[in-house]
Amino acid sequence: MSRNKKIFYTIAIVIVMIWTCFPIGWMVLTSLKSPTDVYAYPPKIIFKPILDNWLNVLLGQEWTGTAYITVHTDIPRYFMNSFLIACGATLIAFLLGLPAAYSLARYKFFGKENFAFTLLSFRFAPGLIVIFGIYQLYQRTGLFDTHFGVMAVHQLLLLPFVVWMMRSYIAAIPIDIERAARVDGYSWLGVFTKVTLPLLKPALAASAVIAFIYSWNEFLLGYVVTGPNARPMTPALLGFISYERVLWGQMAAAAVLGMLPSIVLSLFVQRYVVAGLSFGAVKG
Amino acid sequence: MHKNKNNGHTEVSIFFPETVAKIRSCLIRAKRRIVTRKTIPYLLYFPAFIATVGILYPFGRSVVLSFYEYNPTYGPAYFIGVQNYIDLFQGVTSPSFWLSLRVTLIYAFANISIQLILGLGIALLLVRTFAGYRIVRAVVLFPFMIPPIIEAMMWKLMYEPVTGIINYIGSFLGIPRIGWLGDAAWALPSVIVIDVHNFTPFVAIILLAGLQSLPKRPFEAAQVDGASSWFILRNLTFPLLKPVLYVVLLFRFIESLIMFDMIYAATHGGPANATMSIHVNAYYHGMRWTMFGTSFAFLVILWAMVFSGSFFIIRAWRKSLEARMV
Repeated sequence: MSRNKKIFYTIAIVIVMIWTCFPIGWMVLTSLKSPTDVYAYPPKIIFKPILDNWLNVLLGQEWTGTAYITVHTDIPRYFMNSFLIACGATLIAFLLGLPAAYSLARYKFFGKENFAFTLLSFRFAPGLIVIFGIYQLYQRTGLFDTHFGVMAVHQLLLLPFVVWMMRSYIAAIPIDIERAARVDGYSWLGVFTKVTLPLLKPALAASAVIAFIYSWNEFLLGYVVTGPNARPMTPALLGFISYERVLWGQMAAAAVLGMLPSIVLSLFVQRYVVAGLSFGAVKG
Repeated sequence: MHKNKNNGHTEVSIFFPETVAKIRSCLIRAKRRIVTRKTIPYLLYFPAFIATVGILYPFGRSVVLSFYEYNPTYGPAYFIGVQNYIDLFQGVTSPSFWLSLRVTLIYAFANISIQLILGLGIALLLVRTFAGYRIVRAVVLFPFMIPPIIEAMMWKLMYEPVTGIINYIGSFLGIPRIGWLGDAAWALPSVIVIDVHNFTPFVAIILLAGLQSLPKRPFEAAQVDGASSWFILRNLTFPLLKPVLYVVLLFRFIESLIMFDMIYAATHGGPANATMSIHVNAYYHGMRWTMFGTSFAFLVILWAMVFSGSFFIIRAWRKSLEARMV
């Protein structure tokens, strides 16, 4: 490759990396700034980093100049909410979706493609069109503001994803392996647990992680069906914007905390990310 | 009731081995009669089917209610036929609707075109295996993993008119100080920039995978024949990449039309409704002003737009797949 081309490519990649990382890096820096530094003009790039914002957000400790006092912080609770809801929603999605994916991959039955397409079409729907009915239903049945309620609502997103991902991965397993196990005398359930599942393990893990990320990043559904009790972290962070406009430092710390799980988890599924993001339409 | 087999104990037990054995064989026979080869697929997807019905019911109810005047603060719902829809197009709520439609279409069109072009560019950059390419590919994906609402908060911090970094850098480049998210003229482009930052990695990574799956021989042949890079790009890469492009187009089309999180978090509908997309508008009509009938009408129209557009994109995708099978 000519030298000019090499320089061009290097500069281009550097620009892309700056474009990608600068906003994230800026917010991390902001989370380490004291209130005077946050409002400094011109904006400070070199400053003395302090952990006060993080202490406030994570532990509720505020430095009053002489000692730490405990102030109210909700962020750990919202973090736990998001975590529980994401774990539970992923679990439910797999309990419901894995058998369905198997039946779609292996069998022919009445209304098969209709069901598959209907499931996929849930992604086309704007969240609000479903959520209003669910909002009233939850108010009446008492599921409003419960963790389980949010897990159920997240199925709107997770179930199509799990079914379509698992369907293509199960279909990729040659059916002869299962037939051989059947011939060896395993029952249907035995075939599934001893032959299919172990072969699916990497795909299962990757899909579970991506489903977790989808649930974690979800905002609108979690916002409408919860009150302060079961609110996930993403809607809770919205409160920072409305009421605590002044406290950019703490908002930045909470926001970094909110994006951390998704980013860290994405590193673990790098290999499967493409198939996961495109619902298996493009092989990774 | 029979005495327990243990001698010396006076406790009595209702369950003893013979009934347990009878219950077991009953259950096994029932299982054998229900779980046959024919019924297994239906049994397997039954739970997911129930969930699907559970989602379709509120959806259908919303569609039905769009034909009602439904405003809980003023009274019960009553049927008014297509009046909500007529109002949208030329009646009471019409200015709001046409404004939202305009905002939504501009938002979608700008996002899709910018992200596809930028994403393709980034994918072409990253397809080589240069030093540290694995790290670069992993890092480039990070913005997509950020929840849209956090991304919006991130950019709100940078867009701050007085203390924000963007205006500071702009002051060196001669750009006047603009209010960005607070300026009615600049709000929509600013939110589009946020969306581009958030979702271009998605486009890039999928196009990258598509590029990697292309057969090598046509490209080698073209290089041997001395074709220019631009020629290869236009006549070789682009047509072969069409199926993947359609997949990405489908996802971005759907998601940019129904995007709510980011717009709401960034501008709450915008200074003077500058960023009031259909979805956000439906939110205000429903959750804030409790005009549910109108809100559902907005949403049904949005859904119809998404559905019909997806139909055409999927059809074009299928056609491009067949063309590649040559």
